[in-house]
Amino acid sequence: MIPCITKKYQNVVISTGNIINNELGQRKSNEELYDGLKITLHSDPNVDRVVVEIDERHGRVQHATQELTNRLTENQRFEISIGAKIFLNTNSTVYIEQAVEALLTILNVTHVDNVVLAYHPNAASGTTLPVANATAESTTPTAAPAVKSPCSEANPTPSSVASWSLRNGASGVTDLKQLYGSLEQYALNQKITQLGIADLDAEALAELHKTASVAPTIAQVNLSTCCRVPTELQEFCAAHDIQLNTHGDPELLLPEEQFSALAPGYTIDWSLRYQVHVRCRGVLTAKGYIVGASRSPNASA
Amino acid sequence: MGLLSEGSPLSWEETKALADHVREHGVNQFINLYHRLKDRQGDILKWGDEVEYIIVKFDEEKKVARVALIAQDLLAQLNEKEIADPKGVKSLWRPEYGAYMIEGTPGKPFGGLMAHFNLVEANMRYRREEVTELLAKDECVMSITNFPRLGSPNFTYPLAQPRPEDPLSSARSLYFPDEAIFPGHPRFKTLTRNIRMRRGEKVSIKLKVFKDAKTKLPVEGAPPGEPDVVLLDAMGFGMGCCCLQLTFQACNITEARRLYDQLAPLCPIMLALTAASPIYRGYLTESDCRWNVISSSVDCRTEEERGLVPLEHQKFRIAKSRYDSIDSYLSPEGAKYNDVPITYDKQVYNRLVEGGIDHLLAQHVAHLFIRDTVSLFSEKVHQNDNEDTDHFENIQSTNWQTMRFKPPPPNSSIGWRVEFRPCEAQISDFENAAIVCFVVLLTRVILSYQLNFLTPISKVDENMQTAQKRDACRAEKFWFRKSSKTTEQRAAQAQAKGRAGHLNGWQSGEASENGNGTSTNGNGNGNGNEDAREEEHFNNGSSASLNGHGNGHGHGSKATTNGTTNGTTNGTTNGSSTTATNGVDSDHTDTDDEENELFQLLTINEIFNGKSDVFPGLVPLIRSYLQSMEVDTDTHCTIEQYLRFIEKRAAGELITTATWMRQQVLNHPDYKQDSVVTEGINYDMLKLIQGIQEGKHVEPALLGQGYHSKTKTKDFIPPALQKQLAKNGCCEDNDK
Repeated sequence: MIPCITKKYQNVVISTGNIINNELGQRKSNEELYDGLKITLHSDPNVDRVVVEIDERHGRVQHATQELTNRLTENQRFEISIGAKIFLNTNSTVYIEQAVEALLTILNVTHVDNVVLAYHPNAASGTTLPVANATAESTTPTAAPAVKSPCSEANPTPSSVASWSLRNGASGVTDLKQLYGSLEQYALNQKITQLGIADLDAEALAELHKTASVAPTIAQVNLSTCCRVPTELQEFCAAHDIQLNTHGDPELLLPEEQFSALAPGYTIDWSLRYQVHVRCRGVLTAKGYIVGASRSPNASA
Repeated sequence: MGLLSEGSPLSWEETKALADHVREHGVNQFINLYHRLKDRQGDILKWGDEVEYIIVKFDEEKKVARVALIAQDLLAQLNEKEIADPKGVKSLWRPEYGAYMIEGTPGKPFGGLMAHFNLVEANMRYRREEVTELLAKDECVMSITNFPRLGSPNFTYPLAQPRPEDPLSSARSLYFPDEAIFPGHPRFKTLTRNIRMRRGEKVSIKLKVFKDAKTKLPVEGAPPGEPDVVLLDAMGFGMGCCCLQLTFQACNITEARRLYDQLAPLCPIMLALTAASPIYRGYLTESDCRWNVISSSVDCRTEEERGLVPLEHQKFRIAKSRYDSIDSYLSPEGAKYNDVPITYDKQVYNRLVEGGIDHLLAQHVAHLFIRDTVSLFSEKVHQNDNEDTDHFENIQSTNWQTMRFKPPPPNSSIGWRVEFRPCEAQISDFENAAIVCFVVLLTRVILSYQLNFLTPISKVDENMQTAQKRDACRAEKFWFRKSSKTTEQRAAQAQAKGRAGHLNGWQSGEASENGNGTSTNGNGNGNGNEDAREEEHFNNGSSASLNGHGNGHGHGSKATTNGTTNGTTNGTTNGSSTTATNGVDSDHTDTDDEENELFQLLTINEIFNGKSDVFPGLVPLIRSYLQSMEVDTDTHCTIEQYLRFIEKRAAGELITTATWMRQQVLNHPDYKQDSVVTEGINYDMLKLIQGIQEGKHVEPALLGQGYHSKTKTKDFIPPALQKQLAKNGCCEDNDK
């Protein structure tokens, strides 16, 4: 195992490349990210299939970029839809900008079709699974399908998880508006067609919607609640032309200790996932993660 | 089937005399349409289901259920709306073989959005309600695969008696009266008569009786020497069964060929999962499915063709009925799994090849055309081969196979399509919607992850027989392609080297794509090569293109040409191109151990829910795909109910319709342990089914607790999504 990044960069951007064929089966996004980073950062560069480029000037580590480019160009741009989701646990508009710029640069496109923001400054800990054996888990054991089955209509609502508003308060909404404001700039410049937001309750969504110059048109809720979306949220979305979509992501994509095991001395600033599909044909052609990280404050250079 | 053109059917003698005429022109028509349409690109996903229904009439007083011979009148009413507003109706209704059957489809196809999956069940409900409104109080429209007492005494309403001795009878069955054949169009009786006459005797469908403690042998009507056989003697016993089918449009011909191949090995798997017909002519049998019954019910092969007597008048021995599982793959990746001899007329094949059709497709069409026409109308005899396709369709539409590869109809906006035909009809709209959505989702997963389910045809054939055994869903194992670590590594290596080699494992490598499938780009190797072929003739060996390995295959007169050059391509998809098997009637070349190890016997549970280190399972693959797509909450909720239902049925937690029906019979107080499903048992079971389909009766073993209200199925796409689509261009039907 040869770690690809050294501590000479203050900031690094790591791109997993297209991961849809890495390991098939039902996998969680945190498992996908972990495995994608592992391949990117720790694969033996002498093995044929591993194509890792290191852009020294920008501090970028990119895996299988050529394959990704092929996937993005095999269809005309108007025939495909590119969606992305930014996972942010820190209040920083700079991170939003870094993320969107990295997305556009690495995918080499002038615009993406939608970007959804998941902002969880007080991420519920323990929402991520231990990923040490993520790969081993990726084949589903036959015995216990119920455990793997999301979107249960029978299980009680995880009411222990308080709403976004309750957990993040008024200041959380203020911060969110600022972060969203950075995305709006990209939308106004036609670099993002459609904006979305994840995990908000109706109250927070209404608050954000009220002041938005580019109104969100996607609201993501966790898949586990897809059969019983709160009525207020449903009504608000219906009244304001907001698509209610599902997601299966934890609030904290990768805990610090897991990332620092992969990239010692660095901490994650932001991460994002993109997915590319062929419009009107339901065919997924690419999916990958991009992570922005910086040298940990306490790490010695 | 579409709206049938009216006309005057020819007599069998006239039809027979025109068999070669239909063949010759049918082949020409195919060649012409192929060249008109082969380059068609960029079609979006559109798809639709077809559900067939039986109309049952209950005599509540006497506790008897019969099939109601009212389809003709019912269809006349159902079609009124369509005639008034062909584009606006939510459902379309068509005749089927039985005078007690109708077939319903959505008014227009569903599209390529995730949200379209949420429309299916609502539309199926609508269809059922639409028919129900037209029925009398004691009648019921039921999506059951077979009416259990079909062919038992007095099974029709109004009563009709068979006339086996009447020379004017179409079926001349001892059990199935002609009145039970749809009278509204001559096609059905004509087919019945012509199949019988071509065969030289009545069809003979043999099913082993389920032997219970007091089963009386010989079974009534059993053939001599076969006392445990339930004998059925008419086309109606098979074609009078209901199926659940679906058709979807591919983005181009290459994708259509690929999906045809990839879904073919899943046909027996889906048949086993949907098994729903254990009872025939009032007897419990050893079979759970209709497939072999229909297959035998239209088996028009003569004794010579069936191999019972030496060939004298006919051209060939024919291994299967014209209703059976497919005999060959169509994609280059599939070619090497064509391991059963494919019968065809060399002249027909040569004509196709000379007409610019590649080997695999020429072989497929030539194989379809070993059949004679069994239904010809005087108005349709003389055709313009440059425009018409009736003769091609005549043979194509009477080859009833597990999969159907469908060229675009003339002068339409419809693209290349593939039809998936093995599934049995389920009791409830929920189940039917679940099965349909599952299969369409699977096609998306295959294209997205480039999965490879290819399995040798011989093993798929074996699976077809296994699938029909009693309780196969829980008890049997099926040949299935496995994904071992080593095969994946091989695939990865091939990928890294930028060539496909021959990729093993169920997950095919990226490199095998090369312009197929997910690409809408016009110059995939398929077309590129075909173009090349038009310039250089097949016989001079430059035609390896779509053919996997380009040897002459011993069919054409140039059989010895070992045409492995693939000049214009970079060789990617032709991984196995150099193996020559001159003079062998198949594409099978690869029998090394490595290949054989790829296939192993898995249970239905393992195939659907996964087996560690072997296969992730179809359901987890779909779940994984869904997480990467933008899915609205209602649709995801609905699909998740479907997946959970399928996962549980595959795991045996829920039982198949067939198993449930057996239990209903075996546990009925009137049952005498004699395999006989009496009028009373039949009535009670159908009443329960009526309760289930209406959501009034819950059968936990079949559907779990209270399934009916759980899905969020709707008859519209979410408005917010519609607005977005209006801005970005939409996925709706674009033919104006």
